[in-house]
Amino acid sequence: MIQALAALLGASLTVAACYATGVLLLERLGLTLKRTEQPPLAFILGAACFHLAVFAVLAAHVAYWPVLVALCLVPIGGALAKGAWRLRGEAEAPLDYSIKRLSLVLFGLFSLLYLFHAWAPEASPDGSGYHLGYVSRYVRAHGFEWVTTNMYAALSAGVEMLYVPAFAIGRHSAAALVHFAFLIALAMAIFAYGRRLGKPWVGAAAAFLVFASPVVGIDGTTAYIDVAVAAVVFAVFYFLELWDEGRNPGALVAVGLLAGYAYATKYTAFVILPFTLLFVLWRARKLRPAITVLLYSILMVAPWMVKDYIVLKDPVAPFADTVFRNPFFHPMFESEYKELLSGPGYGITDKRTLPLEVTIRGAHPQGLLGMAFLGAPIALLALRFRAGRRLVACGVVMAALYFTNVGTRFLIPCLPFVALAMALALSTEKEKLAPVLALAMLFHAYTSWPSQLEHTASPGAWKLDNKILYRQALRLMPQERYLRESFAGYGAAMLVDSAVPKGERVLAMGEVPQSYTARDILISYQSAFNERLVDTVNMGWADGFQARVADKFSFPERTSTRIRILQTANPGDAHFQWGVHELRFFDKGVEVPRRPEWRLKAWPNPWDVQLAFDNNPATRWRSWEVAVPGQYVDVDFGRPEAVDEVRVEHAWDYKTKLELQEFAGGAWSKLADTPRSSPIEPPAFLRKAATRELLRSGIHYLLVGDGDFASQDIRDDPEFWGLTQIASGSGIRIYRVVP
Amino acid sequence: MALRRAATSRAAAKAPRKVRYSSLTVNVRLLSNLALLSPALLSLAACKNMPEAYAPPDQMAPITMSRTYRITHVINMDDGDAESHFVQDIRGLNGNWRWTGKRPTARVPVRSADNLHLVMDFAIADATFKTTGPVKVTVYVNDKLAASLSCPEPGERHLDTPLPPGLVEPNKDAVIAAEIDKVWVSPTDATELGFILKRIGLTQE
Repeated sequence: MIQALAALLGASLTVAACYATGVLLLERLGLTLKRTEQPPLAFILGAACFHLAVFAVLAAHVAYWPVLVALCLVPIGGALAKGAWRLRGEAEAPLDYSIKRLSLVLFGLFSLLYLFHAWAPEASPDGSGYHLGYVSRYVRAHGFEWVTTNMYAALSAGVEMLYVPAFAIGRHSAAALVHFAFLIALAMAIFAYGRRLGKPWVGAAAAFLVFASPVVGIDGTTAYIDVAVAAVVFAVFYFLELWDEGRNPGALVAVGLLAGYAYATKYTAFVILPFTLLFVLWRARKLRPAITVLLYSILMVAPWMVKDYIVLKDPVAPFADTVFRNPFFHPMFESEYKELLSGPGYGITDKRTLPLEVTIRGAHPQGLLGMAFLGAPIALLALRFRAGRRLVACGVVMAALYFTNVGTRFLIPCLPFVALAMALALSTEKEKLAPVLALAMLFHAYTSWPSQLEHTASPGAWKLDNKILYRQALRLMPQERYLRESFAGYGAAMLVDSAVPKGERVLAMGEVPQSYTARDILISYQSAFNERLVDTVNMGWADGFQARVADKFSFPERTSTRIRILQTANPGDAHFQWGVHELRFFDKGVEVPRRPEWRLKAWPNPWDVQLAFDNNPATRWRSWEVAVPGQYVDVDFGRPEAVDEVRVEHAWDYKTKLELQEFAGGAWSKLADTPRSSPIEPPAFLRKAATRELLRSGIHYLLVGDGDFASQDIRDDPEFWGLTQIASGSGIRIYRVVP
Repeated sequence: MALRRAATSRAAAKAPRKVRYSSLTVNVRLLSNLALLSPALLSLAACKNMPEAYAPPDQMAPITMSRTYRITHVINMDDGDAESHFVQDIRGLNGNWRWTGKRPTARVPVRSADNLHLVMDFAIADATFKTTGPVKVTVYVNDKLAASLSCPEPGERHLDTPLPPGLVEPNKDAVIAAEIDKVWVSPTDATELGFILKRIGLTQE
């Protein structure tokens, strides 16, 4: 029960701090909102500012829980002292009794379901994996850590910053409850927008379409961030409308802060910023208001870009790796990651199936919007209203990047606009079509309730369970038991904590929910370092990764100071990269010893060039981007060296073409381009060479899922690998690397 | 006086333009210049990340291996993925063992058929032995007889015997079944219990 109360306290304090910050800022900006607008918009605006305060505390490495509590109490105290809490704006016209009654029942039912789900122990994959993974890490470290081995730590984390104080007080569930607060705020804001339009039925129906959408329900009640992103984006739109109505410059400040915060919450939400700038330019016909928006947005964007540039040399890490070259993320990973998320990674090969997948089935794109959204095209009828045109325009902008990631939850940020436009399309001047909207709400409630989804959604769709988790939320069922029974990853995380000493890093071939372990888990694909080590492990056993061919370039003995191998072919394969296991030089059949004076270079991926010169058959230099002509590995001997043969050892590869070049007289000239190829047998110690490389890289523990690529080979003879199995269970095995 | 006014107006012209937004004051010119400069600064930053050349690293010496790689296809009953190998008659986990029925059967992947041994750790429980008396366990691999073991008394048993050649094929699953001749039958619900199984599978010599 104490865990339940702590979660509630952590969330309440964070939400209250956001709201207090928001009302203080609204007062300072001279913005007076209507009574129904103030709570959601103040909360969201306050969240934007409060996230910067948490960012500063983490940057200063003083994120101890008393500091975080004080950070929450300062704005709360300030707002109380100034009396800013009270609703100051004008009251709207009273609501129709039928709206009140229907909304109370429908929102009440879903709120009950959602509240207990959010309050229950966190068992969502991404929430417990990375959203809270690095939140828990920062809380343990009392500040930001230089995380270069986890791409998710590179993403902007504007919502996760709010999870920090909540988590410090109430752990995982507190963070999920903060996200749930965003869901409520979003619904309230949509409702308020409808009332501002003079169409409360439109507001109520649209708010409910969003609120009860199954993917919104599960996302907004876990420690994900998508619903918060949607709330922020909608708040940008709302303040834009307020500015357009009254031309209060203070509204532009709010717009700028929130548009910047949208980027801070999720990279893909940055599209709201250009939309905002264009809208302001169009409406004001002046540059200055747009500059104001831009400047305030930079306040929110800059900390994240600067942090990424300092830590990862790339302000938009893990993206744009070919512009901001860095040793932490591979361009090949970036391109393959984008390709996977655009469909294949979800098992979607035919995008024509998407409308049914994202509305009804939900298994492939991980979640469903609800059957009612099959009627989304009706939103186009709202184009007859000015508000409708604006809503549709903003919705289209927010959906612009959807095909870069076809997961259903990536549609959540455009959902408020679509829902409002759909409801608006069904409205008339005097809301004569209110019964249609009421029926739409009832239909959506019926088809989106978890028990009904059991019949209509595909098995495996990401959605809420058909039960109200009050026993789990109130911890009447112990948290430990619930997590062990319902979340396989939890057991794995506990196993890691019990088997691996503190401070050790674990190379993981599979996934582990990082927020439940205090060990540093290096998941296979999440950084260049991890990918390189996994490549090494795979070289230990999989022949496709091993050096199997030696290309020998022979020529009359000559004295050279600098030689390079140039790749000249264009394989035209977006997944093919060039690699060199070892590059050796010979004279009269004897290998020229590698001297410390040699200077090695490679392009691309210059950071790993030493791997082609370490005499370890389980390492290799790879381009880690698509093989194209012009890529090279270059050796400057530092003095004239007699050479008559150059040997390039690499994996089976029929796509590259190599040319040997010598640097003389200030230019490169061809030495040879027709090597003799001969097969290589990998040495018996290859597996052990792989684990030696792990040790050399500071990795003493290896986590392998029972279904992972190398699992069978390692478990068949761990001793031969130089590994000792120290724990197994929950679908994983943990090995210690034997020194 | 006129001079002072002119100086003041020149100073005013040079002073940064400030715009008041409610009670916040913004230096628009300075900040807009910074905003316009930021893309240029970012693009400059893109060029700064490349390393200098590296020296060759320490050279790895070959490692002497005292034996060859041995394949072990043994399913421990408490393995995380154990149940994915079960075919029939193996019940829920109790610690590191499971009750079996009459013919517990499991499927194991085989990557090499050379020099394989059949291994099984199991136990005859006192409680069932009181009813069944001495029992015989016969092991089949791909439905062909591989080994048999008489158990005249209760207790733990370890089987490790070379697998006759030709019973398995490399890169195909092998189905291992261990049949007990007499089972204990529950008088209440007719549940059949064979023996206690801890591990079963193939290893390579």
